[in-house]
Amino acid sequence: MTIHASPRRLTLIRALWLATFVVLAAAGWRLARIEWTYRSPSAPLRIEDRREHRFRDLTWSQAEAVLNRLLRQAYAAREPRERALALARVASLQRERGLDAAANAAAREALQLSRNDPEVRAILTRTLRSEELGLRAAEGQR
Amino acid sequence: MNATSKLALACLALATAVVVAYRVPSLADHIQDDGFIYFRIAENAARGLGPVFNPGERVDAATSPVWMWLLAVPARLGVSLDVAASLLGIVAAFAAILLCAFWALELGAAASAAASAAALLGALLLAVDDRFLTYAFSGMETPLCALAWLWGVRALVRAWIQRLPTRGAGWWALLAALVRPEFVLLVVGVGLVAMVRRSARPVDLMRTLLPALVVGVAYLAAHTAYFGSPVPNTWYAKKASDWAHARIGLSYVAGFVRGYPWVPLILAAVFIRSLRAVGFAVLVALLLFVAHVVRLGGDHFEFHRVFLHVLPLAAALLGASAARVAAAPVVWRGVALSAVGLAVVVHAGKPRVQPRAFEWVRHAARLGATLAQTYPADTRLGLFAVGATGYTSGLPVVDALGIADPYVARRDLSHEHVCHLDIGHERGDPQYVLERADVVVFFAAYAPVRFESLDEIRDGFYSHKKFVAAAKEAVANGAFVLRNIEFGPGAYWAVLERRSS
Repeated sequence: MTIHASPRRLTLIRALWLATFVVLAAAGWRLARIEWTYRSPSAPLRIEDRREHRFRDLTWSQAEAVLNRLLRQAYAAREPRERALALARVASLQRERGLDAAANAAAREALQLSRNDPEVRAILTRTLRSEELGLRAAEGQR
Repeated sequence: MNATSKLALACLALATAVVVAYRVPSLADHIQDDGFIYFRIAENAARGLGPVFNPGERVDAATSPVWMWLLAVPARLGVSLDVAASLLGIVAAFAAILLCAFWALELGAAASAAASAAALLGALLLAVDDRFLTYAFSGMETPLCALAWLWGVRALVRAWIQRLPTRGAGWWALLAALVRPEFVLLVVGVGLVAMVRRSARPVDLMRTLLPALVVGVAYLAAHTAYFGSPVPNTWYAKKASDWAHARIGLSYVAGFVRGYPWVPLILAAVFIRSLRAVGFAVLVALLLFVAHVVRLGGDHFEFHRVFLHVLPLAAALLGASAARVAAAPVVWRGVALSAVGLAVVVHAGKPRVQPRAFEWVRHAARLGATLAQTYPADTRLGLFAVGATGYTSGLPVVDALGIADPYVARRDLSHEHVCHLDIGHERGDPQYVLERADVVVFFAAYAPVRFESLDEIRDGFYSHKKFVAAAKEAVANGAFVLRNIEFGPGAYWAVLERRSS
């Protein structure tokens, strides 16, 4: 069954479609004015250090998310020991990724905070377990 | 369609157009590496060099011939392919969202304002989801496929399940299969349900499909004559069928459901009497497709790309179910529907595409342009991501992962290490690449400092890891040398360069 529209409603529907095409045309116009950074040599480059491209089976951004979470834990820690543990995890992660300078810096700070703690030392000498990495990272772009 | 539904559709169209226009600045410039593969093939086709990645090598590296030829037209006209592909992507995504709403209104027989609004739920979920929309800007066939598959399934369902007069269902099915060949699975699914429910006899199915089958067989024959194989090279490069892949595939499906939690709600269709037949047909078709994806181990691309091809189908079924629920004059149902609808729309609308998404692809494209200036035009590049660098360099390419190389595509899968990151990119033969390439670009090996040794090049794909080991030997025996290509101020990419004799 077809219910016919009243003239006023028909005008409204037509106006909506007209507006739709105007907005789509505007989208096309905006697209045509986009600067495509890959083909513009003057566009600024933000280069990550991809010498540590792949960490286990995580995407780049998942690995970065894990690192950032561990760093946040370290800086949010109130107790020196708590911070030392978090920094030791950062050091272990960075060493496994092949970033020795970053790993050494984090390890040094962890040991300064809690030199004789056996747990801190243990983390520094082993690789992190999956549950310590908090894997189930959100989707991210490589 | 009644006036209320027409008004609802027009409102959705405007809202979708506004969302698209709003998102253009943030999502454009996100051409993905595989998009650039299409660009290179389309430009070669437009130049009369054939639909091939490397001129002179008859290898079909384009899974979607329709998308490739669609891009060849603007390439022939001299239109920039990034703009053209994004425009086509926007139009396809917009049309897919509208068709999804249209079919939901049709199936839901939405008569009241509430039912019409409820029918738009699925389409709205697509419109607000940046994961769906970002593929309109990817240079890939994803939105076109979503549109063609939705159109094709709707035509078949109307012809075989609903027994409504439908013109050219077989032709639409053929077109959808030419956009991506896995559509055949959806045809089988709908056909099976039609036969089981006796809504169509085998002879009816044949009558619908026969003309398309004849043309399809002719196409396959022509494809075989030109490329030497009836299926694209990507089929060989990505095929897998073992338990390890199936396990990863199952986890991929679970991840999809977690990422798109509204999808299981489409099961409601089989509990609604008026939608049961259509619901079963669509669900069986989807199940066959899901089984295929599981067998392959899922997909490498972000946001469960492979399921975005069928997401509008699921969304249409959800919309139709919502319309039927909203049509019933039961207050609690209306309240529950509104609450669930609001929750899933809010969830789908969460921004997920990060501002610097796919940056490595843009770097790879800049690298290609630098390589074209650095090396002579006959230099053969060995690439682990052939798209962006291959397109902007214009140099001949040895594809280390086999997407555009029939030899590598037919190597055995590595069973030493199977993981979700490598799916579809698992084949390789380091010696083959070292024998043929003059310059091998390490996968995503860029940094703001120079690479001093091959030890700084980390694993990319697992086959890349094996290649790095072979590369160390090649450097040790003096055949190759590590070089840094400065592809931007202070930006270095590690490559392996053959030592000139």
